[in-house]
Amino acid sequence: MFPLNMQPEALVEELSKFNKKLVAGIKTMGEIGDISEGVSARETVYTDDKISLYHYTPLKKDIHRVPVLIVYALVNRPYMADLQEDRSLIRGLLQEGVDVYLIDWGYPDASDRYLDLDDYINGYIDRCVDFICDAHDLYRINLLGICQGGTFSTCYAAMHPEKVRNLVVTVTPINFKTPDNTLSCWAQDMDVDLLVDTLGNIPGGLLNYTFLSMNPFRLTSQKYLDMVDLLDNETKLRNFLRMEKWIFDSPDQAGEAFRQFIKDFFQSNLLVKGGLSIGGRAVDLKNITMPILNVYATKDHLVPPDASKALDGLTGSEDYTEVAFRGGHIGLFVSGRALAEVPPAIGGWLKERG
Amino acid sequence: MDNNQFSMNWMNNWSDLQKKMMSDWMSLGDNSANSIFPPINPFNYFQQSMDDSADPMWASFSPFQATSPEELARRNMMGAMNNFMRMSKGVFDTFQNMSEKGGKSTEAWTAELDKNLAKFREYFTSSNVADFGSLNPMSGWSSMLESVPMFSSDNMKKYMEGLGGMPSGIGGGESIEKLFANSLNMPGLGLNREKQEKMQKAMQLGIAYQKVLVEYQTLMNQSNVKAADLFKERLIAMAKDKKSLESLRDLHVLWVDCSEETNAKTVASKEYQEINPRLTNALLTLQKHIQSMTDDTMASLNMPTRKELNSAYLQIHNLKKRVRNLEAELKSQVKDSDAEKLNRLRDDLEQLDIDALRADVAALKKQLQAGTKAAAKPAAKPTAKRAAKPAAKPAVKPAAKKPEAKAKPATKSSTKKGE
Repeated sequence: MFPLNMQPEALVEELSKFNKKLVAGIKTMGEIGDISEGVSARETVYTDDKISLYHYTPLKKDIHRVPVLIVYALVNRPYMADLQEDRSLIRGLLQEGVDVYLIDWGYPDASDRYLDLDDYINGYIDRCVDFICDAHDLYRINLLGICQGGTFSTCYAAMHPEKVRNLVVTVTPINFKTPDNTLSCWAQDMDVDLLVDTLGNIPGGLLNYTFLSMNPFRLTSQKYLDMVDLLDNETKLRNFLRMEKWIFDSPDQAGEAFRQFIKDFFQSNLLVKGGLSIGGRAVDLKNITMPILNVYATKDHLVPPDASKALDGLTGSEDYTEVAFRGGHIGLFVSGRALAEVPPAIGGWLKERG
Repeated sequence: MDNNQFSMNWMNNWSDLQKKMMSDWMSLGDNSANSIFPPINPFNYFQQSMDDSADPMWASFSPFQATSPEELARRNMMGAMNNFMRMSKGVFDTFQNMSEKGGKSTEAWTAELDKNLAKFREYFTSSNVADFGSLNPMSGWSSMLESVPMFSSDNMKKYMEGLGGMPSGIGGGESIEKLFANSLNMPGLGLNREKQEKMQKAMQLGIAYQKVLVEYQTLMNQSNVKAADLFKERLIAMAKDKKSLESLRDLHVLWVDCSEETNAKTVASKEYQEINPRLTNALLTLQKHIQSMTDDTMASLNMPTRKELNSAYLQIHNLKKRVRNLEAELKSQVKDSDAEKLNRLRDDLEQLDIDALRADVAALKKQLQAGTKAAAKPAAKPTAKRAAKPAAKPAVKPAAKKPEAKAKPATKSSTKKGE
């Protein structure tokens, strides 16, 4: 049997319809206006160099006494956690009564090339924590790290355990050398000294390219063909463009921080092996004695589940909980199912622990 | 469908299709339709409409700024359309041919498919740089070099071509190196000695980069050939299962699936993990060298160099760090020396459950106001108990108490300790 049951006239009809959609869709795109980023009301309460600390307006009267500081990755922009009304982790947390703060790292430029992990973790994060503690008359708060921000939060909790009441990490790499970690495999033989010494900051576009090349055919071809089907629906098209904007909104990476992250985490895996030091402080995971919630995605191709689950047993905490979400790295923050499951899980877990 | 039927259908529909497509095209309000209307294959019409040459036509519909996310999405979409249309045209030509020559039998159509895939293989195993279905990983990186005319990829390519064509493999690269070995290794003399040596070094690095790029492209092309083989296998499997594809979109999805599958294997292979960093490193070595040459030029013009700027940035960074460390030290000295004790007290206070105590007091007040003094006495007991209880409570709740609390995600979560 010939496996293609395609009549020429049907094919021409298919392409004709396709083209018509395209033409109509381009008109829709022209009328779509600005693509917003971030939907929840917030206030900038603290700035430090290029970073901003946002405080989100609570949606409930009865809010948790201890606020949560969300630490996002340096890669891409943090509005992914607040993309649109029905796709917002932050909104979900606010609806759970969580008092939410978030660090926006801003866009580093050439003058920031010497910012290192010490500046980010013992500097910016620590000063944000201090600010929130002062504002709430507390001496420790909750930390919620996302992806690389989870790794930073883990390091912070290990170096400043007295300031962290509960630690929540989501899709966070801990073990950087699991066999299924493609990104890590690519990073092993990269001459990161040459890279940083030559480029200074690492262009966001290069990181984008790296992520795209993990699924090049789907992400550069199939996705845009599928987009044609959305063109006649303004809401769906707007959602698509919002995600598209986020994907390509990639700040450059401060060179020194990138160098340390690749060398110490990806290449030497020091967080697991031990011996990691940031700004002269030892990062000993056994210092993490506060409760830990580890949320990972079972189909995460960027941070494989095993890379996240490695946290279990490495810390000194006696209260360790894992939540597995059946989905991918981004899906954890934007899929309808995730938002029905994840914010209540985090909110409930935090509420239980004060 | 037999050959005659296929041809008949085609002929019968052709006239109507011409009219329909012309009408569709004219509805776009663009005069270019006449010039690109295909004489034979209707898929040329769709494919060409997506070509870069026709892109200004599509752009004329677009009111976006060149850098807006909408414009970026439009460009990406048009690129994908272009590939899709090319595939459609290719598929149409191929299967029309197969249908005419191959007939219905599996052997016949697979033989035709093989012939067509052979052309595809030839394309990817030739010296062409694959532009269909594969990304050139260096496109982003090499764009950094575009600002230096001598090292722009176009000029490097022309340079290579001028030497007898682009190298078709590592061997080709070596012959070019040999060809240029004498001039590139010639010792510098006189005032311009250093400059000459730097230029020679740059050319050597450029050639080294091109060599690795060819290796990389060869590997990726092999991957594309494997994708074509997998595509064929999938089609044969479908035929065996008496399944068929009904649309070009389905066919495209199958093609993407096969390509992704082979790509995933390729990028996870040892060869890729060896070549990929080598390619990156080769380009960066070249870039670093060019940067140093640019710095020389800037210095000669009495302009700030990258090196000097970096030095200034580093000094500012170190100063800021020192100031911040001093601030932190001051803060810690000002801080209450009994902070730790205070924090422990705060923990104890937290455990007292102030809200519950307040509720109790409020209840007591109410009862008092209602004049039921007798009822107020027992209510005081729980307050005392609550106040006393926390001292015995551990600071961290035992894990064993946690699991069932996560009601909803419980099916997808596991409490590691205490289960």
